[in-house]
Amino acid sequence: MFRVGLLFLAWCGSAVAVEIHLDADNRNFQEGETVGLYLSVVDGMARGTPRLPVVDGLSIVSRGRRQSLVSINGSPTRTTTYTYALTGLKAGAYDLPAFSINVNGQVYNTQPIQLTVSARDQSAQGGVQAGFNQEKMWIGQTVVYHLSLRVPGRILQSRWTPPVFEGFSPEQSVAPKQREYNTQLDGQSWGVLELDTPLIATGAGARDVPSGTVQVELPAKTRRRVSLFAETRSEVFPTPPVAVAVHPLPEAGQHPDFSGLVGDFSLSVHLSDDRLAAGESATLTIRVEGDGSLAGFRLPPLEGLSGFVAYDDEPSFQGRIEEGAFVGAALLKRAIVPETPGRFALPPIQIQTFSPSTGAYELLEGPQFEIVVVPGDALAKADRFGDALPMVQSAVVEDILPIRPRVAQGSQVFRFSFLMMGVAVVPWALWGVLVLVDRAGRLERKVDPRRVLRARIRGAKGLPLADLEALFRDCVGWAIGKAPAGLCRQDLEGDLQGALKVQAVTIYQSFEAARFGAGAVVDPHLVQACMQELVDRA
Amino acid sequence: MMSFCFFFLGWAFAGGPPNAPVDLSVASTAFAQGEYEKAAQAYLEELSDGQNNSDVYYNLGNALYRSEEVGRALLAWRISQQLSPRRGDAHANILHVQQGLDGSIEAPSTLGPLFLGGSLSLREQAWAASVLLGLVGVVLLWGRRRKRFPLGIPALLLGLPGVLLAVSAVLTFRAPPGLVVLQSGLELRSAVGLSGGVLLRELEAGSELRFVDQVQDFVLVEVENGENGWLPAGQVGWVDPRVPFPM
Repeated sequence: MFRVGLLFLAWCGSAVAVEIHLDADNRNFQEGETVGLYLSVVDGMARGTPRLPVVDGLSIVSRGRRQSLVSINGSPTRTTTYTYALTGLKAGAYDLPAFSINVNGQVYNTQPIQLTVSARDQSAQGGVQAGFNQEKMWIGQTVVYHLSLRVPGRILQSRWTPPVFEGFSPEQSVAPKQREYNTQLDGQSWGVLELDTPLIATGAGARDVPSGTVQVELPAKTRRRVSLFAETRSEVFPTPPVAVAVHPLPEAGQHPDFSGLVGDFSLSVHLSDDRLAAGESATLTIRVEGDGSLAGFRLPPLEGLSGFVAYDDEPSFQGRIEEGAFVGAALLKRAIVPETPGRFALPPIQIQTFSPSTGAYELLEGPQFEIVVVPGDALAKADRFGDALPMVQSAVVEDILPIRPRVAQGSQVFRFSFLMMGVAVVPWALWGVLVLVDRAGRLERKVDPRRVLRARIRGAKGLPLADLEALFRDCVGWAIGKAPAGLCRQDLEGDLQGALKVQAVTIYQSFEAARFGAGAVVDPHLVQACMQELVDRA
Repeated sequence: MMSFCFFFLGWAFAGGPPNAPVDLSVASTAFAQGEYEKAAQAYLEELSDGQNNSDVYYNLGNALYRSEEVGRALLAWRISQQLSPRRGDAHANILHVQQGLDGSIEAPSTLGPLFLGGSLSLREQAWAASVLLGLVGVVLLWGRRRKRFPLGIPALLLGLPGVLLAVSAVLTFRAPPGLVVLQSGLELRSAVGLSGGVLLRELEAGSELRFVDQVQDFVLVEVENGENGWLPAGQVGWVDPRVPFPM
């Protein structure tokens, strides 16, 4: 049963953790060019080789599969990657639609991907290309410097020495993204290196970004048929200089509280609770996302609303490069603590940004929330943002934190108590008693037979005749040193002396007579006295 | 049996049966109205009534801080932190005050001898040790009833943390409490007496020191770099809730 349970849990875990990813080495390639297309199944196994949909203008041929087992957060994760050769047959834009795949008996859908096949460019089959993803730039805009190197053969190793990006500063939240893959064109294998470096334009004016260099290690052509070590050759490719023009932001239309964000952004705002007691807190969660850098962005202060205290949490920023463009996101939280009851309209969050696509300022505005505050402790209590560390609080809060409105009763001071000692000691004491009792039971008892017989004699008055005879025989046997069961009259006569012998023999005969129905009378007092004397004299 | 244990644990960590409820409205109202000295006095009366808990000490610290009694405020927060080490607000306030101090003296660690003081108070350590060691006894009893019951691993799992907590509780209980300077300009001197020896340094209110010894009305303290000196005992506060709070 236990094993069945474990198997069920393992099945549940595997069923929940299955992930499907579909991606290509390059989503923009030439007519006649072949790039790799990869379908990854994480923590699952597909039945057979998944068949991809047929798209007119593209050729997709299976190239096999490979498996890898890695440990993620201590748990083993198995990934099966199916590799396909994706060839552009005709120039155009294509959507590789979502398709179903059977994994572990369940059907999953992939995500669609967009592919662009450009017309055949005979002149630029190899070499290095470099440039920015934006032609017109503005101060503060985040742009991506794209480098692409294509060489015959396979790139074994590469080293990139970037040019001096005067008038630009690196975007700190995202590291440059580098990809290396192989592609085929007209039967010729090409190694491709692509590098995307996010930068922020900081200086206005026209300038030339000078050349950088890419040094690559390529397999060397050798005449040796057998070689123990791979022989390589090194080649250096200088990048072409790039002329850029960065425009200053226009002054017209810029508010005094301009956020400094340059890019096309979207804003979403969520309020955790709109009905509060005075002193309680609600969390305003603001998410800003767009193609510009958000590092260092802070929310505008809460103004025009009295009776509220606001605490800002440390914001979190994320950035990535997608399709050669920068995508940034910021998550900001603000604790709103009303101090007086009433009905309040929370002013909407307003952020002015500059949009490079329109060349004008835009105002992002969140929804207006209405908060109903009922009477409460009337003392501000900051939302602690879950398990936020005190250090974070001290970095954000300029003053000491508010008092605790709910005060516990009683003392928390440590004092030794017998109850505490009892909790620890009583089970041990019980255990010790049990051990002692157990050991005592195993010991052989040393019994004094004289004391036992005396005790039995004292209680002999009400005994039946058979028990009285048995007791008498025990006493005689113990007195003369013989087994009670084998006693006979001769034993008494031979081993006892004087009046005691006479008395004992008489009693013995009485018992014999009574046993065989002769009608003799046995005096219990006499028997008791005789037994007492037998025991005393022995 | 298990339900009894859980009930007992909950009762123990909840602080035992509550005392008579205390009217906190005086202190809270005074604080809300900005009468911080009056609020501090009310909180002190609660302390003298036996309400020696973390919340009262914390609120007392806030009232004292607003009354510009930085040294006593820090002392109250330290005691509050000692009684309830997992509450972050006292720690945050202490950091806030320490940022404004001279910074020449680093506060001694409050983690305790076995580094459990940051997460468990002395009372919790003692109760947890007591319960764990008691459970080891229960396991042994259970093992006597069922002879084939494997005792080793459960006894080890309960006994080792129990012993660790017991040792930590004993060492914490025996460790000398920390000291907090209550008034600025307090002179740390090299010998006993108000003018004994030479002046080593002047201490700021809120500076935290390590207790070494006491002779009459003077305490020998150690600052973070091993430097020792003497201070008048009445000018420092003990980070110990068993000692009456200085006012």
